[in-house]
Formats: sequence, C-alpha cells, structure tokens
Amino acid sequence: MSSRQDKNKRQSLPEVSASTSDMSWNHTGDWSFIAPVYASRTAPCAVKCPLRVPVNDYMHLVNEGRHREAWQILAAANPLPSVTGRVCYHDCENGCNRAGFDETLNIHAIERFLGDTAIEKGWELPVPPADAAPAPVAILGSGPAGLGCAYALRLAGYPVEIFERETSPGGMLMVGVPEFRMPRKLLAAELTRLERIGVRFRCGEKVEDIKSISQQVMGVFLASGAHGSRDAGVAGADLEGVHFGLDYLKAYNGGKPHDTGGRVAVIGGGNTSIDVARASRRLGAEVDLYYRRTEAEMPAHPEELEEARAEGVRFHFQVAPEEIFADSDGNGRRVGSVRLIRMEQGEPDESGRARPVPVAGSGFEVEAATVVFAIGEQPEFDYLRGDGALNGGRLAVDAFGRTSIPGVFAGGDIVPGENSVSHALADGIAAGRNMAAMLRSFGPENLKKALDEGVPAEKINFDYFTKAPRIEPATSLKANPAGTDEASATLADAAAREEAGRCFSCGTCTDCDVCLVFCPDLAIRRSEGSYVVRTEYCKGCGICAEECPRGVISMERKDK
Amino acid sequence: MQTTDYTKNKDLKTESFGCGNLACPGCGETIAMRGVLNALDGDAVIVIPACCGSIIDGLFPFSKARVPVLHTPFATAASTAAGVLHGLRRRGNKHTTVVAWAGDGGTYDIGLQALSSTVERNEDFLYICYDNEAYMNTGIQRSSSTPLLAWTTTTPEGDLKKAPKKNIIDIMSAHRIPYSAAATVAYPDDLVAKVRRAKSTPGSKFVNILAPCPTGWKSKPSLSVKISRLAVRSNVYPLYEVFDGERLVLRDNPDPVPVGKYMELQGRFHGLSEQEVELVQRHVDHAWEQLRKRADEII
Repeated sequence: MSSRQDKNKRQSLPEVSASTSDMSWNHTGDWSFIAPVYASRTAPCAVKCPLRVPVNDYMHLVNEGRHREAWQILAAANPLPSVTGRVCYHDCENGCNRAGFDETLNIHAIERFLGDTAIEKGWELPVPPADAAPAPVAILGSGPAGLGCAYALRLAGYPVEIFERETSPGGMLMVGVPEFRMPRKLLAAELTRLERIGVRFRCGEKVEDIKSISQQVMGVFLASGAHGSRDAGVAGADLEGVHFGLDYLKAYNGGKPHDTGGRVAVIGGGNTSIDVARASRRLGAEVDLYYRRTEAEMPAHPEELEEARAEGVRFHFQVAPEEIFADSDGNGRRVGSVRLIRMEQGEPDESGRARPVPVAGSGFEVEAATVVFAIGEQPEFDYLRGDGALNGGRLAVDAFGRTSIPGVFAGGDIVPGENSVSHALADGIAAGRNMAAMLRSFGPENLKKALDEGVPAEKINFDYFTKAPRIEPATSLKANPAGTDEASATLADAAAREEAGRCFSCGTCTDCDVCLVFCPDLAIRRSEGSYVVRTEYCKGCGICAEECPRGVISMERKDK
Repeated sequence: MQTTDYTKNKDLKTESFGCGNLACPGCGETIAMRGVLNALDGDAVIVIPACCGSIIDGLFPFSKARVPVLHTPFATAASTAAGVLHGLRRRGNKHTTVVAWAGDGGTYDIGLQALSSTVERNEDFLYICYDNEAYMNTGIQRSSSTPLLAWTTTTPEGDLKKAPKKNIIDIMSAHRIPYSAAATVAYPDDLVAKVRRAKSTPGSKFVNILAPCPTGWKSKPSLSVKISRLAVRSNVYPLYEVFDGERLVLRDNPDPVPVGKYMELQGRFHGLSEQEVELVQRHVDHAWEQLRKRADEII
C-alpha cells in the first residue's frame, strides 16, 4: 500500500476535493475466510425417487414447450414414463418444496404427459452402440425389474434376452395391474420401444432350471417377481367363488373374469386388494373390502383407497374372516356367506405394528357370492433348485444386486425391500449398470466368478519362500533429525529389486513348475508359457492345488 | 524353492514315465518313480517284486514306465536285478542302470536276505525302496518300517506298533556299500541329485525314498507332498547320505517343527495321547542328535 500512497502523493492535488481514482487496489477479500461457491444440487423430488429421476432438470423444458428434450432427460433415467406416470406412487411429490408454499407440483401428471406424448409422437430411445459381446445376459421376468435391467444393459451395448413365462411381456404390469389403471396399448408402446433398441423378449418360455440357461449366457438377472399367493387358512376356502387376488386379477386382465355372483368380499389391505375391489365394481358387483388392521396401517396407497371409495367400494377395518359358508339356496358348492370377526389392536408384532387380536364374541355373518383373498404375494424360485442364500423368504443380494450364486443377480419383488413398480425398475437399472460395469472391467468370462476377496494367506504355500526382512529406504531424518531435508528417502535400485523379490506374486502363475513336478499322474503339461490339465488322466488328488506356492490352482468339478 | 531342473525345457512326452498308472490319487510312489526315471534319463531296467509298484505300473503287457520292467516274486528283487545286470553286461551294455524297485515290505522284511547278499557282493546296481511304511497293497499290514505307535490293520487301536521303525540305512551302511541315502518326494532336487550320484557310483547303491500313502496313512491325497516335507522338517525323516558305509552327510534342519505337526495330518496317528506324541518326539529328537553327532558334514 505504501507504494500506491507514494504514487498518489506525486500527483498534483486536484482543484476540487473530488476523488479521481478508485479503491480497487484494496483487496477486501483478504478480510474474510469464506466465499460463495456455485454447485448444481439435487432437488428433493429426485432424492425421493427410487430411480433418482432429475425432475428439476426437465420441468423448465416442459414449461418452455421443449417436450422432446424434457422426455429425453426423463427417459434416460426411466424407460417407462407412461407406465410410472400412472402406477408409481410418486413419492417425488412428497419431497416437493412447494408443499411449504402452496401445493406440491403434480410431477407424475407431467411425467405421464411426457410419456404419452412420446408414444403419440413416436420418439425413440437413443440407439445404443452395436453389440460386442459373445453372448447375451439372460433376464428372468419381463416386469419392471427385468425391463430396467435390460434397458441399462442395452444402453451399455450388451445384448439381453428376457425370458417371460406368460405369453406377453410386462410381468405384474400385464397380469396384475388392471386396464383401467394401465391401458395395455400404452404399456405395449413402451415395451415395443424397448424392443426397438434390442431388448429381446422370449415370451411363453418358462425356465424350469436356471442351470439350463446360465451356461450359454454372460450373466443372469432374476426378476421373476412375487406371483405366489399366500394361503389364509380359512375354513371353506375350497368352495367355488373363492379366489386368490392375483389369480382373480389375471383372469380379469386376461379378458376372462370370474363370475362375481353380484357380491364380492375382498380380504386384504394391499394394492392387489384395491385392484380386485375396483375390478369387481367394474364387473357390476357390490364390493366390501375387509382389512384386519386400521385404515392408517393399510399398505395400499391412500390415493387408490380414495378412488376405490369413489367407485363405491365399501371399506371395513379391523375385521378378519373366520369361515366361509356355502350358499344354502344353490347346489351347496358356491360361496354364500362369510363369518367375520372384529379385531382390536394388541401388542406390537415383529413388524412393529400392533398385532390384530380377535374380539371374543364379536363374530357376524355377511352375504357374499365371491371371496377374494389378497393378503400378500410371495416370490417363487423353484428354478433355482435350492441354490441361493435367502433373506426372510426372499433372495439375499449384496449392494451390487448379486445373489450368492456366481454370475446371478436379482432385483424387484424377489429380493427384500419395498415392493413397487418404481423400486423394481430401480433395482433392475442399478443391477444392469453394475453388470455392465463388471462386464467391462472383468470380461464376460469373469462375471460369473464369485466376489473376489483376494488370495487369502492360507492359499500361499510359505514352504516355498525364504524369510527376508522388509527393506526400508534410508531416511535422512535419522541422519539429521533437525534437518530440513525430506524426512524419508527413495529406495536405491538394488534395494528396490531386492524388496520386489519378496513379493509372493499372490494369485499369479509364475511358471514355477511345482505343479508339474509333483503331479503323480503326469496330468499337467506345459503349454505356451502356462499349464494345461489333461483331465483325462487327473485323478483329482489335489497335490498341485495344495502345493501351488501362489494360490493359483483350485480344485473344481470337472463337469463345470 | 524345491523345483527341479528335470522338467525344464523338456516336453513331457520325452519323460520316461507315462500317464495312466493305477495308483490311488495322491500316491507318493508315482512321484518317486517319476523323479528317479527322469534322473536316470530313461536309461534303466526296472525290477519290481510284489508290491504296490507292480500293480501301479499297469496291466500286462502295458506299463506306465517307458523303460523295461520285470516283475519278480516278493523276496527276489535284488537277486533278479543282479541277474539282469550280468546279462546286460555280458551283452556289452555298460551304461544302463539296473534298478530294483521295491516297497518297504519287500525290502525291510521279505527281500532283506536277497538284498543283503547282493550288496555284500557289491553288484553294480541301484536298489530303491519306496518306503510307505506298511504292506499297503495287501491291506495295510505292519512292516518293520512302520513307525512307532502307528495304526495298521495288524497294529489296530489298543495295540499300536510298539517297535520303532527299522533303520535300513544303518543296515546298508553296515555292508559298507559305496552309497546309501535317504530321500523323499517333497524334495525333488535332493532326490534327483542323489539318484544321479548313485548312477555315477560303481557298485551297490541304496536309496530309501519316503513315499506317503494316503490310503494307508489315512491322509488327504492332496497332502502327500506336504506330509513328506513335514517328515523332514520335523526330523522324523532326516535327509542324509552315507558314502562307503562311513562318511555321513546330513542335510541340516535348523528350525524343526514339532512331530505333532507331521502326525496330525495322518489318520494312522489319530487318537494318540499327548504323552504318546511326546514319546515319539523324544525318539525323534534322540535319533536326530545321534545323526548329527555321527555326521561328517552337515549341509
């Protein structure tokens, strides 16, 4: 500052006392230790969304009428906006900050608008690069999880084949969600758009044993959903007119609905039960829905509950069925009435909710010609033939979506976690991205390997190594403790070589011949700098694997 | 490192030992014979008496060895070898090594008389005893090579072997033969060096090769080499050579492991009490001390 003052002094004083120079020489920033920084941040709607759709990135484009650009951003994260715009429970809106201002943004309505517009205009998903892989990834199930996985893998350029046991793709979207909630025309449009980017559907192919396909593919993603119905164990459930919710919906959605008999009693409180009730109303029946817990505890989405109410479905809470009776007027085989009992809240159960306890003497009978049990669906995986670790009746997966079976991933309703279209789609996309990343990093032949934790010390045969002390570089600190030289030194050439010689080369074949020398059956032969095993002579004694100094050899089944 | 040079730069097809042998998985005998035949560069005739080796070799007229093999009665390995030797030499063949290849039963017990008289005449042949410490081929009966407190079908639980293993090298040394040695399969460099030394020495040579037997020792087939190595590292089976019955060269073992480490991998020693293992340890320690005292050179 002093030089600037000198400079000012040298100028002749002005005639009037007006400043003629600015103060910019004075860096006021020196006074502070904080400053503003710009960063793009995540909007709370995207945080709430299982798919992490960047809602805030495309809303302004819609506002400006740039719908195609908006849809492209949306579709990059979600290939089924027309579907999710209808059936997703739009938790995104629960994150919307406008709730604290006026009303939340109608995000799902805009999503649906963009999805439908895309179908109307025939907008296509970005064409992925040509397939470079030798074999496809197999996906079991063409529901949202399978579709998400297929989409992520196709975007990464990997071929996929989806095995679907039903005759048309869509999984639960096709068999479980009624037409009045999800028009089949629009579902088909989004599915064929995926087909056009190379997603291959193999409908009507039920996989009986996973091993029959796992050999021919690079990896497997299990997304077979939860299609098994839970048995209520209520007497009289074998009468005509008693159905499981999903079977009832499948028949309805397939265009061959069951005869309602005019009065339907729905048992359950999930979304399936609501769909059953609403479908039954459309079949012209009087519908009563009985749920054993309170309205607040109902797993079904409140919005659906309201819509069902508006359609004339009568809800009865804290009621459970005891027995189903045959119709005395008819042939005695059809449902005539149901005896129900009132429930009250008891001690909390494993789920933390109050256990419903029957109120003694509160039983009553209601008329019904059809009883539909929609008390939950469970996954079925007979095709694994007992393989695969479970977690609470579902397939256990790690953070990457891997099951305990090498090369087999899983997602959607067959794994633990929330069951919704968006969560399944998110599971599929995440697993697909992980599979693609692993395929890229490790190669197709290695995707099927179990998670590699590195060669453990037990696999190193210490008998083949001689002990030698670890070599440290000489430190200048020791030579001159108070000095200002660098406190540590670099290894000298000879020392570096010697220390490198201490490396076990864990897991790397160094062509040491130990296996070759000790094979009692001469089943190991040298081949192009490595070894091949003549399995026609190998008796499987395992000496080579036991003796291998570096843990390169393991004994595996010959038929694998 | 314990690898050997005999496989280096050599196609396996030229080995004098072939595939398809009838041994149990993990058999020490086959590793031993492969090492010996490679050390002799395939210039050998083998005489095999009744033993595992005669079965392992193959079904007549086939053989795993790519050298001539003669099968003889149990007691006559050494004397048959002497006959083959004289036949070859009369025909002018001065180079082929005649090898008697017998198990411990056919060496320590049944073939001992023929062996003794043949080496006493200092016939120019190589006698190899692949020592699996019992009559394995006939059903794991004890031999005089079976170690102290080992289980066999004739020394069952409650009546385990009370006598320690016979020292065959001492017996051979007493004949003052030019070369006798103890080797084992886990040390192929050492094994090959000893066989080559024997080949280049005129007169009678004897090499005892400890050959683990998964079937008779009740051990995992994969552990045969490891057990062989532990036999040496625990001093149960020291590696040494005796020249002319006098000069003893011992391979040192500066950091021995307890015998329990060797014994725990073998079912034939399972069920021994701590005191019994301790007794074996004392026997082993004593024998090792004696050997060190006698050694002219420790390498």
